Amino acid sequence: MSDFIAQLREIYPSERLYEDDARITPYVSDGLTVFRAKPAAVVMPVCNDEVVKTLALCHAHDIPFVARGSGTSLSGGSMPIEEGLVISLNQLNQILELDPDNRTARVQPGVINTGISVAAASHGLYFAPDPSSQTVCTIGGNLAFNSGGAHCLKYGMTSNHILGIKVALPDGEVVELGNDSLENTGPDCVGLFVGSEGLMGIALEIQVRLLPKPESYRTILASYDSLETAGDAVATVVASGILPGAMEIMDALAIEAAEAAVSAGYPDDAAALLLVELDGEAAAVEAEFAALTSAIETTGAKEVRAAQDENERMLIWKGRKSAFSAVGRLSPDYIVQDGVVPRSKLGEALKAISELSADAGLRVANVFHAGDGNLHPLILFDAKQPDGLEKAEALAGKILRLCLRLGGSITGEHGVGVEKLKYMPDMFSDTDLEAFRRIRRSIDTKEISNRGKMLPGKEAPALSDLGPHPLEKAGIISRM
Amino acid sequence: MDSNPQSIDALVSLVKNASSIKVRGSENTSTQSSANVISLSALNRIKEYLPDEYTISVEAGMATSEVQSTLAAKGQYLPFDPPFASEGTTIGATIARGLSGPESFRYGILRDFILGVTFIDGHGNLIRAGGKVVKNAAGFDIPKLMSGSCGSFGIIAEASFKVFPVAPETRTLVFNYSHFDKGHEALVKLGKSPFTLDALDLSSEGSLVIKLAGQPGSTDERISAIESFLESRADANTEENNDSIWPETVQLHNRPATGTLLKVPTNPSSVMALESALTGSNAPRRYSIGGYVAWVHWSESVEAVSSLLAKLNLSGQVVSGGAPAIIIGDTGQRPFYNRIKSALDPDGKFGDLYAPTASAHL
Repeated sequence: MSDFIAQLREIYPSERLYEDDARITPYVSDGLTVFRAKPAAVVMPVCNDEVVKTLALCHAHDIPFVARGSGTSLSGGSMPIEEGLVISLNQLNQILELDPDNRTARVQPGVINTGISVAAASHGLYFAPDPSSQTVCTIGGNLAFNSGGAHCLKYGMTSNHILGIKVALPDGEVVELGNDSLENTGPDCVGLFVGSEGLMGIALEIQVRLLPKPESYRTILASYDSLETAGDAVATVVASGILPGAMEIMDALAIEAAEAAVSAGYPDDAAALLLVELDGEAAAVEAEFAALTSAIETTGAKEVRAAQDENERMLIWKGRKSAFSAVGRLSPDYIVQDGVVPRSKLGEALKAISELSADAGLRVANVFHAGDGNLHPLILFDAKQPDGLEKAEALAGKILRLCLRLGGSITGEHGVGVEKLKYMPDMFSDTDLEAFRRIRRSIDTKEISNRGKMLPGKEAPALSDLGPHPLEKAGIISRM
Repeated sequence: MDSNPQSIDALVSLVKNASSIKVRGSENTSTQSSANVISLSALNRIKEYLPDEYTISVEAGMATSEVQSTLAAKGQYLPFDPPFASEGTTIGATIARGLSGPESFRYGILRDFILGVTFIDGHGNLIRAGGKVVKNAAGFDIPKLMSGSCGSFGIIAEASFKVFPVAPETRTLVFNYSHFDKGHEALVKLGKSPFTLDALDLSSEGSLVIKLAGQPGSTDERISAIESFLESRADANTEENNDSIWPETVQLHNRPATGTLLKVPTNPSSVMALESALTGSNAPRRYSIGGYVAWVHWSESVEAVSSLLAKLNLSGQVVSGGAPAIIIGDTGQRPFYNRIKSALDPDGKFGDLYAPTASAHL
């Protein structure tokens, strides 16, 4: 290790190589704050060459590394590896090229998600993926975890907006995947790399696709007496043949919290709110709006409001986007899951979650992407209680297994990370997981790139449902 | 040897026991004589179709046209607009060859709509990856990797797709320009405009062909808006002014019987460079998906077009014409491909996209 650090010092000046506790401490956890681990060092490369040299060094010395952007991962995806290296990419934050005619931009991984849309705005273009953390999260992290957002049913996830990537593989070889076109020849290697949770190396340059900004929006807010009715309303909208840009649901707890936080003007007597947004050409949106209004009329809504202007629309969205952090204020601690269920099972899933919540004696707030069945149960708990976290994790596990039982997935957009490792065998067979491992080893023979994430294995003991994480018992990671 | 496995289990044991194996799709490609050629025509069922979920899961041997008619009966479609369906192409071959049509301009190509895949790798393992729901971030995205892999990582047995509702009203419009440059200018201008077109094609003669879709009663107003934006009137009197032209426009009208059809990924800027390079070649060609792909028919040596493309930093894929589907031109993705190939098919049972032995068959 000391030899490794000595060689790092040859690459980085001390202001970009953190070895002391004071500067390393901010990096010990990410958005999943219940876990933390202390890396040996943190480096901040400012050019591709430094990244490549660092990876070659890690490979030569068998030092595991984690690439990190703003650390907003909710699955522990950018949690450090004990005594490993953190490669902070925040200083690789340039938009290298923006081509309005081709509707593409070539960016470095540390660029903030909204930064791309801000740069493209003067050309009437934007970057579609919009995770809730978009004002702080980086495109490199979005790419690694295939981030989602509110508009995935119609526009897809991050993966659908990445055309090409220059990658530094974990052994330091630099390869080019994809191109600067929407089409490709041969296998979609870009598609494989996106969402690989940092297991295949570091994206140095990313060619993203930009879309023309929609000419017009129409946003409807409908309130319901129960979450189930709101869930069923989503199925009605979908069955009507309209393709909304976004469909979101919030439950009473989330409405109350959002209202207290930003005064979005939501109805105060609703058990559930459904937000539906149409976007596109003005004439097309108006025609869809008429069809949507008739569909919503049949869903038993208590009240239906349409945003009358851009201010009202933005206020509706402000409430929705702040709901997460607002709910967080209702409780000392919370964890959030992002399991997916088939859309027609939303009503059933929400009813079951409410029963599980009552059984566990823990409050659960629901704010989610209803259009694609992507739940976001926020489980409120108090970590100071002796078994507070264990009970919350046990409930989270039951909810994820419910999602799988209904034919869905354990994660829609946050990724597996550290947090959902133990559920991978519920979703994939040993043969499937072994194929994933073979692919991983073909890219990273030493398995040093973001070791311990996504793939359960001997280097990362599966988290147990009850009691501390095995790595916690060993004193390697700790909870807040 | 020619086999027609009746089940996925039978397919697994065929792969386990073969040293070289190839699926006969409908692409009519030549094959290595030593390869077992198998047909997936018995694996032709719909596994699950949930219209309310916008998802469908099918076996790979099902004809794409049958998938389409099943969806159409419920008012839905495959938004990546698979071409060659009229030739009996199967859904497995569509994935393996990475085939998307002109209307993928609206919502995305094949890789944007494939959700899950079941395949048999070179070890004879039956592997499921991805999922059946419209959103999923668990595990490696092997379904996307399979698109365009030409079967070189494994044999696809089943696949799941996201589907969308068909818009009730559609219109196809043609704008004729006097020069290619003028048509290209209009293509670029429309591409970055907020008009939500289903298809945006440009012929080598400079005709811009557009498809619009939407709710009833909205298209007339939208057409007027497009005409005023382009400061040009759509030509009502051409053959192409017809919704039925799509998606087989990719096959190029009056294409010679011999030669190869190439898919060349481009962007609106490289379309100009490619058109200049092809001017005078007499190669029939068409620019589709808003300028993000060129379909080129090439009658001369494939080596010549390969070097032409490489000079422009473009790659091409041989799609049909009695040649194995392989990648030509720029082959920058090869080092990464080789690594994945070593993981999924170390013994080379399924052939190699870039192998020189493959090009010998051209």
